[in-house]
Order: sequence, then C-alpha cells, then structure tokens
Amino acid sequence: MGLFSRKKRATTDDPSLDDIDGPTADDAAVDLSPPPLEAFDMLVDREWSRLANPGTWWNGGERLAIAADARRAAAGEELSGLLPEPVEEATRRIAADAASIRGTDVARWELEGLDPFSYVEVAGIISRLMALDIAAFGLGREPRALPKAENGEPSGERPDGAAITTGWSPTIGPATAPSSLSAVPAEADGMWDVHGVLYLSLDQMFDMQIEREGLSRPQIELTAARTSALNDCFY
Amino acid sequence: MLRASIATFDLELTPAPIVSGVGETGVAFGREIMAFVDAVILRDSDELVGARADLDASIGPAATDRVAMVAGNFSMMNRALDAVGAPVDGGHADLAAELGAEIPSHLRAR
Repeated sequence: MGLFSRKKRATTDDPSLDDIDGPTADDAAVDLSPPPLEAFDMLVDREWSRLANPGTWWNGGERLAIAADARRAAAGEELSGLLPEPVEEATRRIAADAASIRGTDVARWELEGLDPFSYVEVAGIISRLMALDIAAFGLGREPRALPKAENGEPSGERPDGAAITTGWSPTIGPATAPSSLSAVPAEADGMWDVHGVLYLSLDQMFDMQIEREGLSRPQIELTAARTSALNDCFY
Repeated sequence: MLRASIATFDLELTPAPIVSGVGETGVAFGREIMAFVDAVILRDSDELVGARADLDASIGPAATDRVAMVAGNFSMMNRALDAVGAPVDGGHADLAAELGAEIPSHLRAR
C-alpha cells in the first residue's frame, strides 16, 4: 500500500439519496450502448505503440525505461537505477507523489540535466501509463506487460510559442489542464486520446447531462472529484 | 464541473464529503461510487471486490467500469497538472473552503 494508504475511506448512511438521480442496475440493463472494454483495449494498444516508438525527446527504449520505473514507483518498489538521477527522481515523484512536486524541484532537475521539454514528455508518459494501470485495476485486470522498444530517433519538435508562463514547465499559453502538455504536442495528443476514451471528449465536456454507460454526469464528476482529492490534487 | 452538472438536475451539492470521505454529497449512489474510487486509487485489492460488488448492484457493471476509467483519467490529469505546476485560479478559494481545504501557496496564481 505505502504511498496509497493514507486516506480515509468514503462512508455514509443516508440511503434516501439513492433515488434522487442517476441510473440503477435496471437502467443499465436497457442501455444499448456497447460496453467500453473493447474501446479500452484498443486505447491500450495505441498507448503501447506510443510508448515503444521514439517520442519527441526520448527514444523508445528510454520511454519504456521511464514507464517501467514509474510502475515500480507506483507499487512502492525500488527503481531500476537505469535512469539518470534527475529523470529517476522526476519519474518517482510524478508516478507516486505528484502533489509534492514544486517549482524548485523542476528547476533543480533542469540544472542536473533534465531539459524542461524532456521533462514534459516524462510527465506525459507516466501520467497516461498511470491512467491505464489504475483503470485496469478497477476493471479487475492485471496490468499489461510493457512492449518491446522500436528503433528510431526522437523528433526534437519544439513548437512555436512554448515557454514558461504561469506554470513551472513550458506550455503554449498559460498552464492549464488543456495546455499542460502542449510543449510536446505528441504527448498532448496522447493525453486527449486517453481523455476521450476514459472520460469525455472535449465536445462532450460541454454536455452537463451526458451519460456514459448509464453513469450520469454528476456521478462522473463525483468520481473525478474524489479521485483528485485522494491524489491531493487541487485542480 | 460537478457543481454545474448537479445543478442541471436541480439538486444541491454538499462538497465536504468529497475530501473527508464521510457523508452524503447529494449525488445518487455517491457512497458506493466513492468507496469504489477509494479502492481503485488506493489500489486496495482487499476492498476492491466488495466495493465493486456494491457498485455493480447499484448502477450496473458497465457503469462501474466507467467509474474505473474516469478514475484513471483523472489520475492522469492530476499528475500532468501537478508536474507542470499549473496554478489554481484564485476564484476557486471559496470552493476550496467549502471542501474544508485551502489552496496551497505554491499553487496560487503567479
């Protein structure tokens, strides 16, 4: 359990609220939309391809080494020792204790050799991997084994306008949820792919009455809010 | 988003339980949803089975699968935002107070 064991669990005793809104098991029985598991599996396929292939600042082998250590960190295990020190520390913190990261940490990692754009890619790799591993755990599945690395060199693409603005890492425009990984467009694209499959697409986000598999929007947002509270995240 | 979505159903949100884990939020089956999210995010295999069964019985297995996926998605967003240090808008101070929390100084708009 380690880092994941410190929060109080949700409890209440007011069953009267169970009839106010949202689906029941009977509602779900008449929901004709397909179960989401096939879409999830296809998403993992795409993410594994992204992981194994060269990214923008890291090659496939390096991306997979970051991913493997992120899994170790999330499980409270010792890391491999294969990553350079600032990359290893950033990996551990993003995977297992992201709320503890400060601007001084990111600045120190840069002084120790972790380029700010490379750091954004590390954040993208780990955040998507954790999304899929956590969802898989909730679905009752074992985490899928990481793929083998593909050959090739990183693209080195640095988009116009990416700079440190209101956050402590480069973004295009102010640092917000949509722009968080914008300094590395391939990582931002991957984030939106995960976001659309697991939660909602950008268009769907404006529909406050949307349901997914019978889960009402308030129930979706309660899930989001409780997740953020457990992760000590204020966004 | 939670407040906006719950308002469309003419319901009232009680936000404090989102952080404390104790009490009713005003969202249907909120107790079962939060218990399942706790098991998923805390990666508690012992609690997961029972919490999943309770939620399956309340909202159905497909909706429960969606809860697991949404929890995964926000674990991604939380990490991305914390990693890049996106500031929290000062306008959220009142909501933070309702949650029984305070926006940490390092996340206040710079």
